[in-house]
Amino acid sequence: MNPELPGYAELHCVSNFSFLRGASHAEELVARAQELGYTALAITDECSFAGLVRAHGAAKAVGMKLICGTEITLADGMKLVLLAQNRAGYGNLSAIVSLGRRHAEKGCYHLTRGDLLPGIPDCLALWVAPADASPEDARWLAGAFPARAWIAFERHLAPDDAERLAALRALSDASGLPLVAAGDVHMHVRGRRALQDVLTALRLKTSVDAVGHALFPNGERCLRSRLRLARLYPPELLAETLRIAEMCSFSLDELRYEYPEEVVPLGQTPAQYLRAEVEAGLGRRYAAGVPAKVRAQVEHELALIAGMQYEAYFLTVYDIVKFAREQEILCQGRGSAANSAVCYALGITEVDPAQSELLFERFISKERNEPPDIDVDFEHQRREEVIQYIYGKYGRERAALTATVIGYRTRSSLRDIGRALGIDIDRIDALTASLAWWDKREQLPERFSAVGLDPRSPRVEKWLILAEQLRGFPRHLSQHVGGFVISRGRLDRLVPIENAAMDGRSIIQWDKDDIDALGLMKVDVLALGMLTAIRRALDGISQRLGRRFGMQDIPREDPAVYAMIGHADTVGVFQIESRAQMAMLPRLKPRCFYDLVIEVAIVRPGPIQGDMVHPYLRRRQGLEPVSYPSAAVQSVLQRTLGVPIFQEQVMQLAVVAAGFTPGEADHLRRSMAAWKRKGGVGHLREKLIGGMTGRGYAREFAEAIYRQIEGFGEYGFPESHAASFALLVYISAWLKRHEPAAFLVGLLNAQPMGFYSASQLVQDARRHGVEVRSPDVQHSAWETALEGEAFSVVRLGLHLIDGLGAEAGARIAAARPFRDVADLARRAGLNRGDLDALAAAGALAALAGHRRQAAWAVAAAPVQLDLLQEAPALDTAPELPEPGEGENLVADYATLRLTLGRHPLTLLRNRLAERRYVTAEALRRMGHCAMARCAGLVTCRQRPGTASGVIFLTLEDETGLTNVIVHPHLVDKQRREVLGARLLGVLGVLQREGEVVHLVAKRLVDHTPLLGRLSTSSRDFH
Amino acid sequence: MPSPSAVVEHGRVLLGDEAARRAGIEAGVGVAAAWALAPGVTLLARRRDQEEAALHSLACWAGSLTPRVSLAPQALLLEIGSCLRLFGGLEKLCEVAAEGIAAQGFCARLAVAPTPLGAGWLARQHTDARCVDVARLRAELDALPVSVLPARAAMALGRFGARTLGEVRSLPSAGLGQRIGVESLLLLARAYGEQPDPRADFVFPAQFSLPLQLPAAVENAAALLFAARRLTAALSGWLAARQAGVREAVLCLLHRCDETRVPLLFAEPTADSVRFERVLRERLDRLALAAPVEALSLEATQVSALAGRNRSLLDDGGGSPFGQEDIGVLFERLGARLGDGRVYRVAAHADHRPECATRRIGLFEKVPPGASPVPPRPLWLLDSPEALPEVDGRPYRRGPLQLLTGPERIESGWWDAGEHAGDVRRDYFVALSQDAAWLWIYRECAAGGWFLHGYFS
Repeated sequence: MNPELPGYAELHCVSNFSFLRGASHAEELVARAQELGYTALAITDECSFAGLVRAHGAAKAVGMKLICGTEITLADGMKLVLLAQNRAGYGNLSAIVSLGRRHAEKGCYHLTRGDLLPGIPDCLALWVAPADASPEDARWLAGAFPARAWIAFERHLAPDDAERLAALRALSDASGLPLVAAGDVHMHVRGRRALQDVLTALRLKTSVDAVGHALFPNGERCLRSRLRLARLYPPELLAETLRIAEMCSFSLDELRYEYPEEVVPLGQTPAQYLRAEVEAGLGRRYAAGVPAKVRAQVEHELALIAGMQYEAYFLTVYDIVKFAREQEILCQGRGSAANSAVCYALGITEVDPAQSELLFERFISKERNEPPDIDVDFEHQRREEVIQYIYGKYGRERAALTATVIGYRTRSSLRDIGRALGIDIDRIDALTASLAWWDKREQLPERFSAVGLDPRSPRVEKWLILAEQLRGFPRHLSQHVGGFVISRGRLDRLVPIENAAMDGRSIIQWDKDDIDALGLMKVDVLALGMLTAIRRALDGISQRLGRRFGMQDIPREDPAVYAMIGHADTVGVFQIESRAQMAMLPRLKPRCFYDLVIEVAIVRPGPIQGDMVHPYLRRRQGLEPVSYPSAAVQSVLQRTLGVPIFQEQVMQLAVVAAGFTPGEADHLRRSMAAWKRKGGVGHLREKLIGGMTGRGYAREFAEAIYRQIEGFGEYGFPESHAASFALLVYISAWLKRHEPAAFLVGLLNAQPMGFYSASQLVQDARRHGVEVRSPDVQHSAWETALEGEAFSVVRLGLHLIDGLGAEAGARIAAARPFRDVADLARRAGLNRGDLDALAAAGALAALAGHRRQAAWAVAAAPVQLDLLQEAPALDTAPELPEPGEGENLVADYATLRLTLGRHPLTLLRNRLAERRYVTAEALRRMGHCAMARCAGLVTCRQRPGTASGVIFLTLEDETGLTNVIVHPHLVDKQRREVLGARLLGVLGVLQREGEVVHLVAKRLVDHTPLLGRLSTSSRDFH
Repeated sequence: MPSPSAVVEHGRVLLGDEAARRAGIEAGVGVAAAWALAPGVTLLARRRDQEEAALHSLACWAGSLTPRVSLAPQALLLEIGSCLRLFGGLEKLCEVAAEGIAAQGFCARLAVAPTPLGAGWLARQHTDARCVDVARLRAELDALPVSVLPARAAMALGRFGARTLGEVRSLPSAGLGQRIGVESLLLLARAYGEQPDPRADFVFPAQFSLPLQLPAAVENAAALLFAARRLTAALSGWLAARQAGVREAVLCLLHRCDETRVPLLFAEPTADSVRFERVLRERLDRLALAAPVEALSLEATQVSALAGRNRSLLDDGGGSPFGQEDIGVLFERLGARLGDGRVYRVAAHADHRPECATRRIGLFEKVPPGASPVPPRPLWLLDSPEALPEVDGRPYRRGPLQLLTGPERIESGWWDAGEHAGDVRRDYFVALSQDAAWLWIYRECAAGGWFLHGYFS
């Protein structure tokens, strides 16, 4: 840095959060400005603060002065850069940005001069004036920002630089507004020029060779060296930048988040109120007296909460949960703080601290000064009520959803760069389609070759390089799944609020990491389909019993439930219904609640990649001794037989075995995911392994722990989440075991959710003896329900009928029963489409006979829309022949996506038997290594990231499901069968481990033509 | 045409070639799935305009079979009852038609029936039916699936369990009209010959000018012959229908930016496709293509009644779009004399690079919408910049140059590096020379060095 050069502060600089304009990350801009010896840098994204927190973090790390501001173009074309001088100015500016954003659609803003009046206190304004700017505009600005407005001269080596400077000088003299130098910076280095051109082309929805003069003529809009600036600008204009920077003293560190206060009744402190509510809750939970262990835990937690002043946070969550309970919306908390004794007492979670050996170390650590984390799941069909309650209680100015930054990934950046380079859309499609599964960047050149593009041709080379630069750029802000930020004062003075794409939702401009960094409180209000299903099932049971039956009425630790789980009879059960979970259950054989906690956590990429599954199974089956290298390690790993399974355990190991502080351990985990991508975790690795060997642990053990931390970094499952999930596993398994009809009703009314289709759920329930009846206008409600004297028969609802609207369904249910089709059409106010759908689904059987007759009858029925139609002549129905079983089957699948008739494969069984295919049931009785042939409808295709190219197929026949393993070499050879077949024959070898059976494919045969017109569907690669 | 390939519309495959079908790419398959099934597949967007153009061209050609041709959606109706004897019977006529179509590289489904709608339905269902009487027609139609009817009606009929037209006709017709719409009943009646079904005749165009889009750019002239055959076949059909012959026609080869015109001259008016092909072959064999050909067009420029006198189309004053046909003829002659691409116009092009800021366009090409105003540029830009020496740190050209304005920095064009002008990085100045000439000079940003790029005066 040369001290003789004039100092400079860049006051007009956009980052890539000015979407499709800025071509550098905020961090890059800050680092470059520091390198060039700038005195300060303003980040002035267009009507946005979205990049500020990142810039702030980077600036703080290198000791650079950051100025917060924004660039705004008013509706009349006046372009201003507004800078915050202090906290008040920041708040005012944030409110202006919010105003502009809330007045326009997502992604746009609208501000007028009127919006800025009477000036924005504590903010400075730089006017990016054109050469022919009018003196009137200058006078307006001088009036709105007295002594706080400048005219910016931005020199980019255009041919009219000198004339423009002269014109602006004249304007300055006439108006008294001083001149200042600025850069309109769009990139941190000149080398981003190509990317900036690409962004311009994308913004204008064209390609770089067609975008013409909309491109910047050169690369001057970068951070330029002070030497160059000294040559380009008069010295007094450079000096003015320093004077302005001097006037801006605000830092994001000054933001203070305050919890909302209305969650505490008047006259009480948050601590008093929390204590009172916890005591009341404990009284309800433990009628027979609070166990000593729980009492001690509560006191410990309350002390921690008081120390960190987190009472208001817990009370805010409590308030939301209380609302849900009053509305009878099922909910359950999870997350590090959720499974505390305090949360149990407050009803935020149902996981009883007296019954489990859960850890609370990760609960809140004093060292990590970050807010506690509680996620609350609600019934997915009713979460909107909770969201509207929050908006209603705190107002739109005080509550908004967190943003999620949608960024460019490999595929999307390739797609957009390709488009900007004018590459044929077909080529781009070909390339990105072929990338669908193999999302590895190193293989990109190969992928290019595979679709006939030469990776060394100039255009393709540029494509690759630019796509790599664009990857990781933010593209737009979307809403977080449910993270609410609620503040005591106006939230829009803390962070700008803008409209989300979804009606009635608003989001702040910061994402989860941003608010973490600034210590803002977030409550996650999430949606969970299984809670809906459980609520519906419980309603059904209550109906049958004639009294309220709730989750707390379900007996715990029922051996019959565990027996069912041990046989992997878990279709429909929360979490443990997937193929991978089902393969684990007979090996693990859960016998108590804690086993379920382990089961939930163990079938995850983290433990699988860390190679923890098999050691745990061997130890559990007694095939391998359980040993610990030290007592300290034993205390951490005892409950999981010496094998770390939960994220918390791995972190704790770093503490007890390598001497990390809990804060360091958590930092290690967080960093691991990021560093793993970038490479270079060297020093932490040394610290961990050195720490462990230094404490007398074997190097092998230390290395293994390191690898496990690595695996857990991205995919680890915390015990606190697993415990909450395990409870829902148990509840749903109990329902399946003891109340299968009510459970089926719950699942069907909560669709879509889970791993299985309605068809598979119905088949499974019928195999378990549940009677299911088809939808019928005379008997069905809109939703599926229980009927019969004992409420033990499932009547499918009209909601399962494709093409029938919910309102029409409700009207039918209200007007039942009907005399005939005409009566139905008239009283339920149906249109032609509704009637056709009902007839096709066979739901008119009681009124009009079989499907063909029903179709004939409804085709002439009077409908609302044609009022002018003459009353139909009473025509006699012709004798239409009854449809055959095959035709009914086709119609069932086409209209309901399931059948209550025989399974399609029953009809094909003879033909399959001729080809020597056996049923799934017969397969299950075969021995290990048997050669076997099995055929079925493909219901699921999966390609787990942990299985190195193996594809898992699930086949369904009339006796059940078969899991098929297809190895990569066979996938390559029989791509078409793997991807395309709906009815697939598999010739292979049986692999048996206890009750777990897989068919390893050797050859695949596509029998789809046998299905004829039957439409089936598969859930693929989700 | 690369293989496998398939035609796509609305993201779904409409039709695949043999290799595509073998890979599993069939009608209805999604685009992404098609790529997954055969990563090398070429997918072509369906072009309805080209389908129409092809049908139009075939209609012209069909003039050689019968003067009564009619266009139907995606089908061609030929009234052949009156010309059976001319061709020696139905079978013979069908053979001639099939061969003629195949020679143009098309694949057609033929059916013969007493009603136009019946013939259309039978052809679409690949029946190869040859019904010369109504009884035979009825039997053939009865077996057709209900899907030949409008989709809504077909769907409704499917629900009643009726699969074939025969089954439909056994349903009570009073109730049926109410249920599937009287329009469908009318269609049935027309197809079965129970209602008249008059069709509008195809009007052979007054002047023959037919374009043909090639599926892929063709780089060798001989390969054009096959494609051009479609055009000459259409021309001879058109001539036959008008009972006229052609003396001069122009085959136009369209390249990406310009075109090559190949005149075909005949000693006397002719409608003989064999002669067309012979002349065409001679011309194309000797032609060296300057650029790949993306489309063809054939225009009959001198047509006369076969027995009558010659008549130039240019004489009877149709008028060119410019309204100055004489200049057009002059340009054409000039172009023919001086060679392709040597007579052109200049149009502004939006590009920051001075050498790319103009573009040559064909004489009759439309000028692209005006580029936005640019800073002053010299009228005379050198083809290639002239390097200038530097003396005492100043650019020098017959004496030191005085820099008047600048620099204007231009950094742009990276995207076509290695293909076209490429990335330029220059600082431009207006300079005054010792002899009082205003020059436009620049300095290379990266490598340094001065260059003269143009003159203002």
